Amino acid sequence: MCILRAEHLCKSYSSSEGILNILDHVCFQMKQGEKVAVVGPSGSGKTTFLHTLCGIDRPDFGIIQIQDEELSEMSDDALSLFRRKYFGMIFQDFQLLESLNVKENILLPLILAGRGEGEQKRCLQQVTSAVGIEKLLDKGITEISGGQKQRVAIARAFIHRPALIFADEPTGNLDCKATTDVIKCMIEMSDNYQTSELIVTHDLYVASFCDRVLMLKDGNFTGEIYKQEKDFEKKIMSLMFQSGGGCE
Amino acid sequence: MTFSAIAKKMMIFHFSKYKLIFFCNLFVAVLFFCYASIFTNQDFMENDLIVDSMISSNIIFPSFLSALFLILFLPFSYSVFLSARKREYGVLLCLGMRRKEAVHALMLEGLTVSVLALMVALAVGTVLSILFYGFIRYALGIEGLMWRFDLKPYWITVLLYGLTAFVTIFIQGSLMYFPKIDQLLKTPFKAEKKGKILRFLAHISANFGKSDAIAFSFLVRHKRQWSIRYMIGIIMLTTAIVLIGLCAAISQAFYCDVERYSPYDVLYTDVFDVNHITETEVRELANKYHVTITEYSQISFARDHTFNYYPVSKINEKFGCKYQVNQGQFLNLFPYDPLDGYNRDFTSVSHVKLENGLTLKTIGSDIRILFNQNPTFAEYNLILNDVDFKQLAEESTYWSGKIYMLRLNDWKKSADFLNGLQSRLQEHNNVSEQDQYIYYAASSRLQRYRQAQTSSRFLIFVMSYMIGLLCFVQWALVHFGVLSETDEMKRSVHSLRLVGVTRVEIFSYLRFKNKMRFLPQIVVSFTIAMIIICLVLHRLYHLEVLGCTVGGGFAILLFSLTYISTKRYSQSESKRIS
Repeated sequence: MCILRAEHLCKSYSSSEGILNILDHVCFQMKQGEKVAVVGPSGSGKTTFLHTLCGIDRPDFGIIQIQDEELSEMSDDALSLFRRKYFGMIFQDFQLLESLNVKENILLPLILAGRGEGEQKRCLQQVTSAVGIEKLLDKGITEISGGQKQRVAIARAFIHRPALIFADEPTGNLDCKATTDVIKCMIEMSDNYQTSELIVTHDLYVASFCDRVLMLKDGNFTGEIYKQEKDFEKKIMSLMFQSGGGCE
Repeated sequence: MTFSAIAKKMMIFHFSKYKLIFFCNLFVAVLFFCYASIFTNQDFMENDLIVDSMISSNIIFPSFLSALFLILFLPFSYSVFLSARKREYGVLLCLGMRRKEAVHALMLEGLTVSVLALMVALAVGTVLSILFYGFIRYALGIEGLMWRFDLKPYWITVLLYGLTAFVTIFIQGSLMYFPKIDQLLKTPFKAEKKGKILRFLAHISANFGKSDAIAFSFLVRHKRQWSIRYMIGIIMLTTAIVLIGLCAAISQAFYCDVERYSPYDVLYTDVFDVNHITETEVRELANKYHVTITEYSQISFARDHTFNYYPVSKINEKFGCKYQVNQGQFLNLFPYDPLDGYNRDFTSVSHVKLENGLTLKTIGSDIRILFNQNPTFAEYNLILNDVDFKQLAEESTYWSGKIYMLRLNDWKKSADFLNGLQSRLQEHNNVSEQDQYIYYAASSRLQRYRQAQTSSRFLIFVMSYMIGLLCFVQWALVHFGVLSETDEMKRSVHSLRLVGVTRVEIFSYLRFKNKMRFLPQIVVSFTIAMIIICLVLHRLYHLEVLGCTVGGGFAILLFSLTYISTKRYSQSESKRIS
């Protein structure tokens, strides 16, 4: 079953060098429970693609359908409510609120949705034990490590059991060990919660955990590799080198 | 857990960041309240017996400035408040918070901070205004002025502050509807394009050597915000320097007024059968109080409701004038100094119809101060031919009398004599004590000098508050800016340390940066202020040299102190960053 469908997405920005076409008629589909990685060199438009799909930014042209709802026709308010209900977001720089502690940060989506205390408590317990941060709940954001922060961000993204997780370079600020922990955690959570995941990354190691890898270059997809394919990892590597990307 | 609990927690967490904004708002409101408590006091503004209008009029300009300042400063501080919260609300919007909810929450936060600042301001303002009154009464010697509880200043402050805060919060809060979420998320890390000028300066500085380029790189961040800060700082400091220059010149002008408008040490009139006292009595009185009268002269005059009339021959004889006024003519006399700084109307009266049916025509006008002003005089002065004056003085509809003018050996020691003279006049007169002091008082140079003294001190007192505020807020503006860059500075300094830049070098870069943050405004303000002072004070007894000297002196002092203090400031910034 298709959960996300994007057709002919276009997005451009004006700069001192003229108009830059970041997305040029991009078409994309994603199945329920599928984990997709979008890779590409810096400046290829990965983040713009992700922001456009999750409604943080609007496309200049094109259609985005999520669970049969047309995103590009929604008002700002309707889009917010849609995001609140169906999306979970994970960022490279965590985007946690330093004014709140770990527990409050994780609970934010439920608080915004106006869920009761009982439900908040139950969901918090489930998600924190799954992510392994039960002992950090009363700590401040500045008191925990980068890997722990990203786990908190993962817990926040999953707590309201969204249909889709959007992750923008989730391991970009982490070391090797933390990267492995975080990506494994994300995949495990996604499997447990039956959630689809779209991960934008330049890290091939991270991409290798996904069911499908898409290569974005010059505003469009230049390649697609499925995990079931033989020599999956080698193909990703060769795809990146052909595209001239500086991936790890 | 509810959103209101979260919002409250976020606000309390950030309060330490906002406290400088809070205190600045508080300071502006307190200052305006203090002025409001004075200009709404009827005794101060309207009762000439307690406070002379020459003194009370000094409150109007600083009150206006403090109101203007409040109106301009609140929106600015709120925009700083708002920009500090953008990223947080970006995250919340990302998680599905609606714009409307975000705007409402932000408005509520702004409103809470504003109401809190206003409430504290009214309480602090009350205490401060009591001290204000105490200072005016005991230090400046304006007796009879008492602080009393009055709702007017509270209402005016609440109205002005409330209205400004409400409009600001509404407009600026509504602006949160527009930025894209990713822009809000990137607020602290937003990249900036260098303009052509900055590119050029960066190129030049890079060619000076490595250290200059690094030091300069600290300056080219947040170009737009710093441009606004520099602009506001220049406006504030220019105002402060101009005010100091004006204050010095106007204070001196008060004393110049004494010289110009009181050519005689004592003057009183014998008019309406009041103030009749003989020369012998006056001389005896002077002897009693150890004062020597060096000159005692008198001149006839007559008046109606509009004009004072003087005979031309007596004026020429007494004051050495050479006026020629024929029968049927008159000369308009304006007893002012055109350099006193006031805008006066020198329009001549073209003709005057006397009660006996005779119409007199003007032969022109002259501007000259012959003798002191006195409450018994009418507004306009006409010099008539002796024959016309005699006819007019004999008419019962005109009040004729004499002006008595005295010169003393030492007018500064004539206080007792003046009191004695006033009491003696009172004994002779059949008028109430109040009328005696309001309409029939003797005008003296000493009295005017004392008024000038009080007025000058009062002016300096009320202006120094304003000047202090301007300088403080300008400093706070820059300090805020420097503080808001702490995280970026930490990152930059960390990177520099990694590539081998020493602590001493970093300190010198920081000092260069802080000098460039604090000092250019003073230099530019100094230049602009000098021009303004020269233009404004040219018409005030040519006191522009004094104004420029004092204003310039202040600017140089401020520059020197700031220059020296940047070392300490940079040391503390260096500690904070490392």
